[in-house]
Amino acid sequence: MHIRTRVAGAAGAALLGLAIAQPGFAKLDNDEVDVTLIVHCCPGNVFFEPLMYGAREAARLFDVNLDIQNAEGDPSRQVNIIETAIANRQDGVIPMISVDDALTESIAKARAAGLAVIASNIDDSRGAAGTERQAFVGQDFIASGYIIGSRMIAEHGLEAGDHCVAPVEFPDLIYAGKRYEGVKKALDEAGITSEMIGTGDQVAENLNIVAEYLLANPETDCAIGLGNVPTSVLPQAAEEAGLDDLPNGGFDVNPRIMENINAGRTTATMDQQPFWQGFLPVMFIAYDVRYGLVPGDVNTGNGVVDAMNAENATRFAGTYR
Amino acid sequence: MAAAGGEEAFRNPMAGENVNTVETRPDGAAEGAAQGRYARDTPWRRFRRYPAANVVAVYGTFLLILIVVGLAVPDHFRFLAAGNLAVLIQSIPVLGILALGVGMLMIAGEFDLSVGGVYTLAPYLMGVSLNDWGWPLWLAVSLALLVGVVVGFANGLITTRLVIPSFIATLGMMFFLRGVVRFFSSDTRSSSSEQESIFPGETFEAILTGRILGPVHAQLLWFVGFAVLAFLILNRHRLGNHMFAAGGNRGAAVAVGIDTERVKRTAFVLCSLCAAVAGVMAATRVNAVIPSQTLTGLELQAIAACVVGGVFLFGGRGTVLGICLGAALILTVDNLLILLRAPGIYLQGFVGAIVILAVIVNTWLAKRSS
Repeated sequence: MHIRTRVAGAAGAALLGLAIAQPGFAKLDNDEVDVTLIVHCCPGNVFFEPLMYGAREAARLFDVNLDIQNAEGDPSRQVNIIETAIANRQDGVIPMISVDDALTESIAKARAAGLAVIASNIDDSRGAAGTERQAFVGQDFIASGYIIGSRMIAEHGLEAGDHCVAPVEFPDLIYAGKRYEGVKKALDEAGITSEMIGTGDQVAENLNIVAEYLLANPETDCAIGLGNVPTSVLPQAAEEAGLDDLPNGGFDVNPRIMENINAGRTTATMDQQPFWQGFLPVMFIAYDVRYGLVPGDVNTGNGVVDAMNAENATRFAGTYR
Repeated sequence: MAAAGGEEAFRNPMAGENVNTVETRPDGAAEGAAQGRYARDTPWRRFRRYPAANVVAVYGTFLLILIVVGLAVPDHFRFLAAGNLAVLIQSIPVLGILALGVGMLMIAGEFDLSVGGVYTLAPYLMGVSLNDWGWPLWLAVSLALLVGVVVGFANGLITTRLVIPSFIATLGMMFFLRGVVRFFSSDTRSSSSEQESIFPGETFEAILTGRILGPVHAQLLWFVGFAVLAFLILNRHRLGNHMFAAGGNRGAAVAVGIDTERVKRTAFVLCSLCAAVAGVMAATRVNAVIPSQTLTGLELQAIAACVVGGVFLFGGRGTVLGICLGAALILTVDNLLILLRAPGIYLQGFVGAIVILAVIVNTWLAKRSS
């Protein structure tokens, strides 16, 4: 309630001025706002738990009628869900723009129909120029990739001629390419070669693929997971390949990754704080629809989680973290 | 009923004829006999024997309820809103065309689990050839269709010549195609995104996916066209008769001189070709194709649509109308859940329940009709 009071206060002050300029709003203060959140893939992936937790918490706080759909990795399905939301006269949609071009037309239709559109988690690779979404709430993938790449080099004394592997669930999706771009930039600057490999989103499959890669390439000097699933299996895969002390790190927070960090088996992970990626878009839409407050881009995190600051991340993994 | 010397009229699902018999007479005579046999039948009995009876009844009732509720409370239930109908009209044809191919193959007694791979690989290569190789559109589209033909023919050869169950052969092909898609999309040394944009031009987009009138889009016309074509093949052409024969009673079919291996190979090719068309259609609509589309389980959804539509898992029985309505039912349930704002996780559960129910009803109907 504390957050709500503050934001409502600020919104109320803004409303005083805006109400004069914009005499009519679609919704009154106490009208429920209808919002559809579309998770782009991977039903059951623990990464999205804090994101959905955040969205539900914001829905509760700001009287939003929220429904959460899953596009199951199919861009056509995400388009169908957005266009059904338009037909259903929702107030806003929160897509995850995991594929360039696929959602451009449907997002434009949604905006033309008066829906608020806030991209969450993944944005078009061209940013705001790619679609008509009003704002993006998510991680700066390239910057965070550069940070974890640099951290691994500094922490483990990697040097020119070394080689790193970068496993990722879906190498074709935007997040993978952007994160790898940042990681590769840091590694390239140090003269370290790297390779991105696709692993799918199943934990066991990731374990097998990474272990097999390391068995075939025992000269590998580090592993940087570009998504939560491969990051979570890196220490075990390295052990199975006989590379027990292989430096590894990666992206995102989940219980297994935190367990590895606390045990000293993983160096660090980039926390994109998915809670905010659910919470903020719902809040933005509620205040946009009710008061005309214009939402803006939010970088939800280039923060590094390591053994020094792992306590909170461990305690709240799966809910707020 | 089985007899040697002819090869026509193995069944006529429209008349509810027994699927495991071999007639020696041409179509007209067979139908005449069938009509005589069921001369005392009521229309209701004839309808119940129709292989798609259950899905016609279920979908018809379901649709009627949705329309009535949509008319009664249009502000609260927007099923009939033009935008929503447009979503249905654009999404059903993709699964429907895919299911038509899968259904014809199932009628011929085989499965294809690799259609999801073809659905992705065909438009992916179309995109690569357009964007990277600079091919003209007609050649790029031809390549996409050729992918379907080649994969289907390979599936057919492996299944019939090497006598490997199609379930296993196409399972292997499914994984192989995932690898091929990865191969063409792989650019691991660079940081570029590996999706492929599909911008085939306004004319092509208008022909394949353009809006015609109100919520009606071109996909619907293509779907109707493919359905009519499938109907003509299955019910008005010798090939269709042979498909029912090969799937319903292979031994008898061979005994009357039907080359069941060739029939099955043809069915495999038609199946993969339909998958390629569906893939190109979907990619043209969203202007993109991604390799991970191979993981979405589309092949199982197509099989589910066929089973719901009354196609027998063991072959020899099924109708085009049933397949079309099976696909429509699954996607209409999906649409209903989204309209009602039910959590998306429920869809899989509903589809599973519908499939199980459909198999139970189909089995019961088959026992009753025999």
